[in-house]
Amino acid sequence: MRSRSRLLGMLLPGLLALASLGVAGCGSSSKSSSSGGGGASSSSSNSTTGITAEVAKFKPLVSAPAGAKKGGTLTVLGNGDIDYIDPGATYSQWGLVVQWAAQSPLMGWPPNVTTAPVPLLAASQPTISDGGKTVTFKIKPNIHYSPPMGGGTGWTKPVVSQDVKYAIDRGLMPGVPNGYLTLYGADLVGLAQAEAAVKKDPTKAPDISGIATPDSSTIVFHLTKPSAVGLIGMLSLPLSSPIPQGYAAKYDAQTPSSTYGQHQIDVGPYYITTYQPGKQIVLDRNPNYTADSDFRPAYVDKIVVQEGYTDENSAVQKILTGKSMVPFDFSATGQALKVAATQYPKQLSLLPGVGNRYIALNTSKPPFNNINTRKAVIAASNRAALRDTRGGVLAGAIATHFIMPGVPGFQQAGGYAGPSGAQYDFLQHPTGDMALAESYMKKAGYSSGKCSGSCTVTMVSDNTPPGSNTAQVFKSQLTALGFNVQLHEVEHAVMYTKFCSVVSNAPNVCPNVGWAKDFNDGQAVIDVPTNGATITASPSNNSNWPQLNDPAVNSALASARLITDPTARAAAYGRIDDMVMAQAPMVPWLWDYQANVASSNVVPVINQISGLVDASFTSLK
Amino acid sequence: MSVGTPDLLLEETEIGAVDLVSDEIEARSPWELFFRRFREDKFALAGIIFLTVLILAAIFAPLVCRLVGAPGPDSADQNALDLFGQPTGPSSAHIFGVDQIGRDVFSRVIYGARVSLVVAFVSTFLTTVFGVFCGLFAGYYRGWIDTLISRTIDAWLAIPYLLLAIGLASACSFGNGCVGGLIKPGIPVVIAVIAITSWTYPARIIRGQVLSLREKEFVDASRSLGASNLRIIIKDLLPNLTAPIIVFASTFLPTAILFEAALSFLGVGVQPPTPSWGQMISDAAPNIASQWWYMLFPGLALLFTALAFNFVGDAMTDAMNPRARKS
Amino acid sequence: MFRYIVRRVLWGIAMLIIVSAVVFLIFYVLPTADPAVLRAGRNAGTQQIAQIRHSLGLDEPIYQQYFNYMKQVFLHFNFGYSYQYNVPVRQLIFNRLPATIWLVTGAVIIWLSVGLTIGIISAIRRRSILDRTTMTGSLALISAPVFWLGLVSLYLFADDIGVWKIFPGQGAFASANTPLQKAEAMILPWLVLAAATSAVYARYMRASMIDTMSEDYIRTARAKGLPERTVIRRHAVRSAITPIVTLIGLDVGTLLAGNAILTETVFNIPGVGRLLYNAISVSDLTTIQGITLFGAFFIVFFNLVVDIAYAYIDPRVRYS
Repeated sequence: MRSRSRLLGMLLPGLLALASLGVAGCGSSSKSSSSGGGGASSSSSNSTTGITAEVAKFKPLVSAPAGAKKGGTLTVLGNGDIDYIDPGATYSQWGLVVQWAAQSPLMGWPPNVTTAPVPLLAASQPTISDGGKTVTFKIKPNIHYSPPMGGGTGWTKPVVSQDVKYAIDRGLMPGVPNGYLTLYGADLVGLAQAEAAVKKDPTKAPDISGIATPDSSTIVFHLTKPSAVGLIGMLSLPLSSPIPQGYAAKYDAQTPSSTYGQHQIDVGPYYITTYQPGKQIVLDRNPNYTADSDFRPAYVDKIVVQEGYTDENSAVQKILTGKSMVPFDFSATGQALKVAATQYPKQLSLLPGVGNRYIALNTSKPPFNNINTRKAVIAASNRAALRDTRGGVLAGAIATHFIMPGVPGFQQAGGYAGPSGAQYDFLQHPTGDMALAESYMKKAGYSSGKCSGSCTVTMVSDNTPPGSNTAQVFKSQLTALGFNVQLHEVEHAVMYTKFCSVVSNAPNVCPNVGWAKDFNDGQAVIDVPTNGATITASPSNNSNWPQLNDPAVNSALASARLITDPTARAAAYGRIDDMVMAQAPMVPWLWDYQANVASSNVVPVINQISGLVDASFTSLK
Repeated sequence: MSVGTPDLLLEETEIGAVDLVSDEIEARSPWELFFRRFREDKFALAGIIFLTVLILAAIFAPLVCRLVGAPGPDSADQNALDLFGQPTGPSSAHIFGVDQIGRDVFSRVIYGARVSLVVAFVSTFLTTVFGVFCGLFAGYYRGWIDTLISRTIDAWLAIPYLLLAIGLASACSFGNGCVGGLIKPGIPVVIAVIAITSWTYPARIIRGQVLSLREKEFVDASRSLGASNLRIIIKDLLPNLTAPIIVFASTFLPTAILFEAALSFLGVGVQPPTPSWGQMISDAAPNIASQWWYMLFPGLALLFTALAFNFVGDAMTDAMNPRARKS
Repeated sequence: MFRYIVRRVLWGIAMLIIVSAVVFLIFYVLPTADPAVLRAGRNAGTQQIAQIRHSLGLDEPIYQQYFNYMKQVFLHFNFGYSYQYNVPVRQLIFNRLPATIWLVTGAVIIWLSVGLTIGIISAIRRRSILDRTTMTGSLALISAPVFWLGLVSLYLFADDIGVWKIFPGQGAFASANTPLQKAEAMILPWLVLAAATSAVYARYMRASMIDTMSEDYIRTARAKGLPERTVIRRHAVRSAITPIVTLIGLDVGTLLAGNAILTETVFNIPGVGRLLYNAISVSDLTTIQGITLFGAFFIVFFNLVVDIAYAYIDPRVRYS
């Protein structure tokens, strides 16, 4: 309400007195959206326990059907651009659409595998020895590089283990901004020395001594602690795809960024022939790729990523009514989802468990430094209404904790129903429970059950739908508890890099955050966003948005990642999830279904790790 | 001023026999002629009526909403959203339909009038004041002041106003805003952007006027009487500038409204969820094919408001300019 | 005349320098984001960000950065690399310029031919039904927000979502290949962009014509027995059009500098306006500067062109 009266104060003096008379009436904003709770989403299919029948109708294909045809061009429509064309830096789900077709990391994820990665460039599963501190890979022989993007002589020698080492080493250079090497490879022997060396000379890739290449077909990783599972998971990401130093060093020496991306040589079934930033990426069949050298069948002859389709509705419409098209970096939400589900149901697939969405409450400053206030906010939030901003029931399952379905630890943390027990009561009302919320507010010290005193709360959100809509809906839910919310909408990237991820400048609420898994493991999901260590490691690029810094959680995370037994590991991460939720640092509201649409002549095979179309398995009819 | 034209004769007969038979033919003051001309322009009249209604509706917005039976502009009605969270159109509960998160469009259009009107009037005022000030000084003092101001005006066009808008919106977004709390987030930022971008237009116009005025004899007369520069500016020049100032202000109002709408459409204007017509159209843009109502009604509101201001401004221009013939 | 041109060019260069200095200043006083952090990507450590900041030259004092930048621009025509895309700014701008040029050229042709014609006819047939209708109608067009007009036109005429599926809709230009397809995709954007402007020009032309037609020399021409058509064409229009010519220069210059952003946004045209908006949103200073400089150049250039044209059209104008 107070933001409105500031507006009134701007009116010309003669109108001021008259205006302030009328402001109190007219169904004002205090009647929040949490009334009429279930509303449109109260149909019986809005169950928060398990995948509903509605959603099961849209099960995605996760393996290529027998008799899949070879040939044709797959057009991939993109809203924005790939984050980095340099495989050492790519770190987005949609980037994997390109890089998992063009690169060959040591390990890989066939679309129908979700338990553990499968050898790709590696000849076989790695040998883990020395109590989990040494991981040895043998790499396949006779793998050759493609012609280079942009022309030139390229590299005619076959792939050797030194190339894999160089590809990983260069991830420490500032010109190759890799975001996960120091995370999953934190325990590599010699990492700190390598980081110091690259600080002195940023134009040369350092030598991480813990990565050894005793011969040209063997690569060994030495760790100071037995964090092999995380390391092996990381080796399924594009960083470990081989890059010969003799070819790349001159490009890597460029400042401010390496130009290798624009001149890259690839070893996958496809190679990138053209990259026009913001416009398109073209991949052709790699002439130097030996068919059947790995699990990728590579049906289509050509992949063209066309960017600039900023209007999701028309892009989805184009895909549904056109030929040979799939999406790059967007999911069908809202109206687009409605059209797809009602008019083109055979061309829509919903894949659960690719990511989660939550609203981060900044625990480092008032008013959300009080756990009871946070519990009140969670109890009051109508998460079904939040889900409506993304398309209702088919947009996803309402989240009840952090780890998403399909990831080890999900069931252990409570599955779809969430953690049980009275201490988690604030999580157990997906459409909001004002009475419970008010009781928590009273526990927090607000005797009326609503906020009083200094109740200003700052919120920074996306400036485009659906994120902006989610923020506005949540704002009204906060207002119902008596908070005065200052909402500022900004560009998506700016939301992170200037506000939410900057510890010193973070607002009270960041409503548009979420986490997509890097690979199917608890460490890849819950470590970074809830670990206190994240805050100190990168205070201007902090992904622990609630700034949760609980010593018990921190030490549990530190020990969980050293567990190698899958059952014990899942149990440990499940427990951590419950510990985190007990702190109420966020409002978990969605476990998305990745809604992939495809043209009628496409047989889209969905990769269950990236959640998107797997270009190496998709074919055309 | 051509007296014997058909227009004026017609006006004479409409008023009635009194003037015709009167012995004395009084010269009408410029203000009388102004109001007379204004009164006859039906479009301008319609514009004034519309604007009055709009201003009243904006002031008494809560009352208006209650009369129509619409909920407020901030309350989201979940029942008006379908299974996919998509809004429904005009119905008995919501006469203009709801927007993408279920808020009543009619209420938002009415409340949005507040934003548009406030921004229009305040930014026009500031732009005019600052522009006139600069134009006056440039035209009167000439010399290096004139060169400085004129060159600044020339160069000002090339500065991207978007940079300023987004930069200001970004910097002044929280807490106390910036410039010592002078520019707060939301409406003040928009007003600042419009004023900073547009002051060059009145400045240029006024400068031109002052350049010709200062050569007139009455200025010479004042100067020879020993009047100070300031006195000449205030007593001699300003009164003669009233006409162009009013003309500019009245023609700038619709521009200011559309400028605010454009800024809000681009997402750098008034911050949601404060309703703004431009913002509402921007919200509606992705789904116009299936959800036309919250694109149409705010757009019509903008169209009619700007049109009303334009009719009034047109009439003002014609009335102030004796040589002009209205259409 | 020659000295005049030289003076204008010199002033143009001075303006480019001033404008870029102002942009630099605004950027530093009111930054929208931190380009080093944006560039560093997810999970970057403080050290990495510091290194990137150093390699982008962002840790030097402002005047040093400014000086380096200007030196590159004027000596080497090098506008630096975009912080966001790591692609030369010049290349980025040249990639986007064609779309904007397509948009502006077509729109200019339409609004000049329609606007001027209507203005002239309205002035000649003053207070006829035609005059009243066009002048009121033009006010309506001026009052409609251009982005709303664009959306309404898409709703009515776009071949994918429209009520009457006639013209290519949003995003069509980006996927058009042949010049014919491109022109087709531009029809709605041209009409929308030209709508309000032609209304403005119609009104200006009408007012200017009315003023001119009441001048003495027109009466003389008529008294000489010249046919009305010649009077209008050779004398009235030629004189009336001079203030319009100045307007054209300004309008074209500013449109090419990025003012077409609203039309580009609504129709999803990958032009300079949209590029500028994106660059500002993510604090890509080099791109912002590049576009601003190009834009300032266009404004200066077109202003100069029309002023020279002015001198040829109106023999009374002499430049010293």
